[in-house]
Amino acid sequence: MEWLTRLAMRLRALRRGDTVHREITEEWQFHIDLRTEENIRRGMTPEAARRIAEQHFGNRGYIKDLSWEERGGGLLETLWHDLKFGIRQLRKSLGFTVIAVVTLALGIGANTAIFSYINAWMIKPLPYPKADRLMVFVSHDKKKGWTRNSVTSTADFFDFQKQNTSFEQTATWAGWNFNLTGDGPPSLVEGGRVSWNYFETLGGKPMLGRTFTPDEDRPGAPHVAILSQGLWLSRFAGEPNIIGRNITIGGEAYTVVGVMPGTFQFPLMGIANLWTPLALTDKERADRGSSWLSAFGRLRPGVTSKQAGAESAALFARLETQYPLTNTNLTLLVNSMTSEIGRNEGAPEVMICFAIVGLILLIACANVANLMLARATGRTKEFAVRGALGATRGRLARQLLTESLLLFFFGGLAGMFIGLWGMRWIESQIPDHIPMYLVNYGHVDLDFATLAFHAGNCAVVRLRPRSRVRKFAA
Amino acid sequence: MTGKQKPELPQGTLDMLVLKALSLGPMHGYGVGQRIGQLAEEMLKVEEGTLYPALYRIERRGWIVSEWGVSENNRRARFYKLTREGRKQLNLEEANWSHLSVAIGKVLRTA
Repeated sequence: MEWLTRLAMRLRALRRGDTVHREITEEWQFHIDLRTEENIRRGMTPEAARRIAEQHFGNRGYIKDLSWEERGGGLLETLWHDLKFGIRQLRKSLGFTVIAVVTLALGIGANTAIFSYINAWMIKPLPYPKADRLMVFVSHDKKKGWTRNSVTSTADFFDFQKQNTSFEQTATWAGWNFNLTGDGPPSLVEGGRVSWNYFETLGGKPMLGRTFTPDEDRPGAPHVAILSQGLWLSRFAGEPNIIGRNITIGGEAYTVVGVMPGTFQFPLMGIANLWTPLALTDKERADRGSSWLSAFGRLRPGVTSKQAGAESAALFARLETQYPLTNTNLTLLVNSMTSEIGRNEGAPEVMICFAIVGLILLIACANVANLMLARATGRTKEFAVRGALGATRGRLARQLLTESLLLFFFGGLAGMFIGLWGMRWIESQIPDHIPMYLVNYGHVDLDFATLAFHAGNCAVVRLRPRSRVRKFAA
Repeated sequence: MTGKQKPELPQGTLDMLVLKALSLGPMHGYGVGQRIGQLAEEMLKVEEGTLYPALYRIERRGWIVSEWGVSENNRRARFYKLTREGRKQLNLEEANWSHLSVAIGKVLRTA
């Protein structure tokens, strides 16, 4: 609390310096008056009494300086003066200021925009609990070398599901277009047919109702469906009692059992607004020839992706000898979902982009540093005069530092707007068929930590010319 | 002119004297000066004005607090009062001082 009182005192001196000065003067006048009275009592003439009192008090100017160090605004006061002076200086050379601020803003803005995207797409974990435990299954032909983002065959997958010991759960899905009729004009809705545990394996929780049950994932089971928040709001006007209501898909009645929140995304499926259970028939489940399903799984605690991969390789080697006609050379790879999604996003291109804007920022900083250096050279006379008048080296350095920080503050501020605009531009430049594969699409926010980081970086680059001050102040 | 001459007191002694003076009760700056005069008699030539920066410094450290009051001759005056920390500090400095003066006295007598 003590520092708070102190801060309050400093602020008071800053805001009401006159009052503080007056108080000090009054206190001293009181002192001198009492001393004068005392001197008169000792037999001095009033004039002599006052003169002696003043003399004994000492050098007022000097004492005032000492007092102001304690009672004045302290560092805050210096900072305030520096800021005022800095703004005056920047306004005086408006051309320089505008160029420097715009240069910085472009560098900082471009970096922030790009990095905000990189952060959302590639650095932030996927929006699922314990996303690093999620693995995607990829078929691979050992001889021909191709890989495909689906299982080798439906029957293979169910063998794998039954026999593996590495996964807590494995789920399977297929992208699907649904023909929605009733409740307005017919429309084609993108979504997926999914195994009952699809949502559970990802860790997605419904905002209304529930997800599917194992019984609903069987042929002949009553038809059920889950809507996305978007579809619920747009087509059903956010009807509160949507759960249990019937909708018509492909001419058949489906009961809505749940609504998934807008934050639930699965980039590998793309845009998805409607899900129904796969409900595979026995014949489909026994199909070892075709592969129209994709699958992923959640690793058991303690099992590494490498162990899971090794288990899968062994299992598929057995299937190869068992079903040579369909399975020769085929195996199922276990890849991390994070990197799988990252690859689909064209990670190298994004990183190249980032490297380019990083260099731009560096160039911007160097340019501004040069500009300021040139300006400092032009201000040699000013520093010489101030040094001669008694400004210490530290004082001059602090002044220059404040000016640079001001510049970077404005640069950062303008950079923020350029960053926001840049993000909107990036969003508008993403081809229509891409967004659905982007994690966090539509949920990318300007990354303020990044903004501050870039602005700070520039400022550090800028601190060097401070050494120039040394020449002018002893 | 005795203007810029600094008080010939060992560093920090003035603070201790001010605390000691205020340990007798709240007082304004002039009174503190008088009390120091009584305490230290004529040995100490404190330039009266330099008392004030010292008071302000001690106040900033939280050893004393000040507020406006009315003096014995009915004038507005700023009164200073010792805080609990101030009293602790005074005890500490007194102990240190007597330690030091005994030690120095010994050296001066034997050397």
